[in-house]
Amino acid sequence: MTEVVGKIIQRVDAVSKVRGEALYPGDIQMDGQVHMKILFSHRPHAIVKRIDTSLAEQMPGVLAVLTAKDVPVNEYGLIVADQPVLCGPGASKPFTDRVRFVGDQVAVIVAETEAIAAQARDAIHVEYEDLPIVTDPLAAMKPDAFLLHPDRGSNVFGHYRIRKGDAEAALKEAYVVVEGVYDTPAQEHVFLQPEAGLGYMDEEGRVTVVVAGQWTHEDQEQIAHALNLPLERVRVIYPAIGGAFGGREDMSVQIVLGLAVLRLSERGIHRPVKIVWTREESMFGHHKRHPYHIRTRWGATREGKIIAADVDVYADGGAYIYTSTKVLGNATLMCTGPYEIPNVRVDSYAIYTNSIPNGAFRGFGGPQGAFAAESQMNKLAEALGMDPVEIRRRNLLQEGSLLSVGTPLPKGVSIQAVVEACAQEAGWQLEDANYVLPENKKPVQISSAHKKRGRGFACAFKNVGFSFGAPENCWATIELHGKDKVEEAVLYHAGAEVGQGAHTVFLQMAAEALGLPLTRVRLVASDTAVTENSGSVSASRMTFMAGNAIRGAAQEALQKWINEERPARATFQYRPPKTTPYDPETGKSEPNFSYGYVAEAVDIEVDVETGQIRLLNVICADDVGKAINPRLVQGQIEGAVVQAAGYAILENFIQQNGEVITKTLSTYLIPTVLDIPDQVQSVIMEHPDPIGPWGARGMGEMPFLPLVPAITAALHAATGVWFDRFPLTPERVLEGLQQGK
Amino acid sequence: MQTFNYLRPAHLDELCQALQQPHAKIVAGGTDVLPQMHTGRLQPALLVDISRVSELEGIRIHNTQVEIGALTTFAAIQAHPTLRAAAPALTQAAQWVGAPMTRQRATLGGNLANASPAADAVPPLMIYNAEVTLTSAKGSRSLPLAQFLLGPGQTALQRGEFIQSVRFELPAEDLGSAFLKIGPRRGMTIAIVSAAAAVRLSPEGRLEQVRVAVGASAPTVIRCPQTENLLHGQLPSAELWQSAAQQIAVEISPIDDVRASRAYRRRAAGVLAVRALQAALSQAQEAAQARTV
Ligand SMILES: Cc1cc2nc3c(=O)[nH]c(=O)nc-3n(C[C@H](O)[C@H](O)[C@H](O)COP(=O)(O)OP(=O)(O)OC[C@H]3O[C@@H](n4cnc5c(N)ncnc54)[C@H](O)[C@@H]3O)c2cc1C
Repeated sequence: MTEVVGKIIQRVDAVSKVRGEALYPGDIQMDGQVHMKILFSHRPHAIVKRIDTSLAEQMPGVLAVLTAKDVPVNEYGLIVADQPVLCGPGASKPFTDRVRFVGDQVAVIVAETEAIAAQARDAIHVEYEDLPIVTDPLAAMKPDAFLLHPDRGSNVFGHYRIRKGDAEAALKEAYVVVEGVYDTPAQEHVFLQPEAGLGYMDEEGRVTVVVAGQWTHEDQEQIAHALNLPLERVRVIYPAIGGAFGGREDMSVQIVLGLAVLRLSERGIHRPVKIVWTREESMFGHHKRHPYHIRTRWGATREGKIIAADVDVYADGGAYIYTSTKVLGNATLMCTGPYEIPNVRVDSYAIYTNSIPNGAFRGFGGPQGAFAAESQMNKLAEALGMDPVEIRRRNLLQEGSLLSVGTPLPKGVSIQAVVEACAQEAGWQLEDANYVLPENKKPVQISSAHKKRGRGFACAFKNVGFSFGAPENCWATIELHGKDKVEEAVLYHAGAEVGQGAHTVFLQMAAEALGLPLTRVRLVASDTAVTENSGSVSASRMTFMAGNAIRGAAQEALQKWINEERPARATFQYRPPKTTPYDPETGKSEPNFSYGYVAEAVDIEVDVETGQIRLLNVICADDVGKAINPRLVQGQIEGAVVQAAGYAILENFIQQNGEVITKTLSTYLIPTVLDIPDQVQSVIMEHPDPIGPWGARGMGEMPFLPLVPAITAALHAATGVWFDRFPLTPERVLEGLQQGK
Repeated sequence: MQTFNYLRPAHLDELCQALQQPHAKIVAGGTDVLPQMHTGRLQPALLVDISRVSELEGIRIHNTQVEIGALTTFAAIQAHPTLRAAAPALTQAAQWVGAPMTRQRATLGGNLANASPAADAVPPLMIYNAEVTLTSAKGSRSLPLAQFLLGPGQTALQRGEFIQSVRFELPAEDLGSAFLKIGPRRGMTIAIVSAAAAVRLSPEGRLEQVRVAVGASAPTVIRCPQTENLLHGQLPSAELWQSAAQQIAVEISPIDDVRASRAYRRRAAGVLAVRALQAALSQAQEAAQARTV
């Protein structure tokens, strides 16, 4: 029995956030602060021939104008340093003088006021020589395509292969083969707080950046690398963070703030530098969810056993790599779904284009893979005249079954139970050992002739933690104060609170591990000066990783306490089981050490004359292993469903020839309270992960994955038409219905 | 940041005076003006804030004459019981404007003067044959709404003039009316297409006084006289509605934009206008039944 873990506890940051007391980077004011503006390229592809900053520099109130030549090591990138900090001539690295998307940064201006900085920015004259604009990833793959990064030799920067059995031969033998071509759209994170931050020299002479990110220590490394400083000369602090969803994994204002602090201090100016991006800057300045193009053929036996999957996957990477190769890794694994398929061929590619870079976003390749896989599954069910739940049940991964990459899942495979729980909640029943949705459980049609209702089903699996051999670990430090008994425990942890409730569950897990009431545990968080590396809040990993680290630290601290150390302080690094990368030829690998499993049933109503869709009800069954805080789990499920609902029916990030058309929230539309499902039912399941803290698995992304294919299945149930492309705007739906007739 | 002069007259005569100044730009609720200033699209030299001119506020009803002051907010229109009972299309349109916060600030006068082809207040006012009262230091004049709206962002307002109020005859009880809107989303949305319709049923069950206005499908909101003629005197039937929808598609001249294509607008406008007509009709039928009881 646990005391604190598993309980609904009010978030520790709730009151300060509701009262508006929590300080987000944009809210922080420092004495003597000066203001920064960035000159963005606003050009999709060009060579920067010349930058004339003289007018800007002469303006009263301007303290500094910095360009490429001022950046010590003019490159950065989470995985590959392929992006200049500032694009322009004068850097030692070749091709740094190019801008490759509209949000490339060309100059930074520091001035007494924001207004002066903006004026000075507008007074900078840049001469560009335009280059051909490459926007279609498939065209960009061709040998004669114009290269975005000539030094890399190709626009294709990522490629994986999976070869398991003989897919081609098996497809010939299949009773049915279903072919599909799927396209998924770009999606913008629209976190509430646009990018913002402050930079200053701290009392120990460290270049300090206060910013909202997802991984303090990675930010620190990227800043140190570009500024050519030793790590310990750079400090990163996260105050309150206004949402992230993967959108803060890569650098935005971090390096340029550090750069300005460094250069100003060299000129004897020791004043904090502040920047706040406008929403529009945020919309074109940071990466998006990748658009994917997936072509696939699946074959099955008459009994609905899938025998082959053959898939080609193309990811539009945009102008720089960001996390694309990792996202592609996930999509490559997930494009064949949580099913055991004996014969699989996958070829996947990530490709440079002059679109905004694409990168991390809740689900990280999973949603795109799941859309193709689950759509295929639903079409196979139709082709065989089988129930969509029943066909899944016959193919789901079990304990010991082999993934497409030739290895079994880690122990604790629960997708079968999750699918059945969701299906039963949605009205499916076992009849003669087969799942069926009885007529009387189907959505009740309303009398209106132009409104049709349908129910759709989909499921998914998603890794917890970094995959495919990426170094994975997490630190925690615990300090116990007091004399005879522990008066106070302090947990030092870098993990970012991006709104998901991480800090609350950290404290719950620490209290549980120490056997203390929650009120005696205090958290010092997200400051590289006092906390050790936690890894990023991404990949649904933070509860899992932090929990194991906290447990380890608690055990050691308690031991030291018994040994009468005062304060008793222990630092622990948790390392999960090792994973391995794709074999370049066959894809064979041990991709992940933990998974979460999820299934969703969705009821929709479609107006067949206008194409409008209403989401009536979503049932989400999610195996979270252990709900450390059930209310936060429910919040994540509902939040993910809402965000995925926007992805499914509304959010349409439009770029034309490298220009962003939807730069504002009046053209890029996210759901309002009237657009979200009328109801979301969370079915929280707890099949423990054998290596999770208290059995917990990650869960922040999982409920996002199955929603779109469940919605298109519901739309098919209502209208008989499949949709292989979304968002399902009224226009697209109406067009599809007309063509489908 | 922009610098500008700012005047806040308290009465009509002060307002008239303030508007004599060159480059005066009126701001009422500011829900159109401020976003335009934020993006830099609008850079007024002088802002005349009319929000304290109390003469411009309020909904007045004398016998069957409705007069709505330019400063009246959509929240106030939405809540007005007489309008709800007798001019429901206007109430329904008010409910569609933005979100509750928007409706607390957004004014009727601002919606008309902003002259968006998608302005929600316009289709209902068009089917109620509303007139706009324009006032300046020189006096007042009245214009039918269709003559006031000249194109996207263009009105008949002359220098020094402002909208004082909107007037229309309260529809008779047996005139049913309704407003419908399709946006990319359900709340806080600009119309892809909108439609208002009014209709009365003759004792023989024929359509009379048919009025149809369609929004976001032409440079201004427009009435569709050919559709109205086509329906006038007819007995409602599925075929009739179908030909009405086709006629609507011919009468409008929509464009492609970020929200939808011209082709979608043509289809959806027909569907929506017919649905508005049907809603108006069933209201008219209810009124007719109530009378016979
Ligand atoms: C979030 C949001 C959502 C919105 N949603 C909708 C919607 O769903 N439907 C819709 O139709 N509109 C919508 N709008 C637009 C806007 O709210 C309306 O057009 C509103 O009615 C404008 O009124 P206002 O008082 O705010 O006008 P202001 O912004 O003050 O003025 C608008 C224009 O009218 C002029 N003006 C104002 N009053 C007068 C007057 N008495 N005489 C002469 N000129 C005048 C101003 O000079 C300006 O050109 C939305 C706006 C926002 C910000």
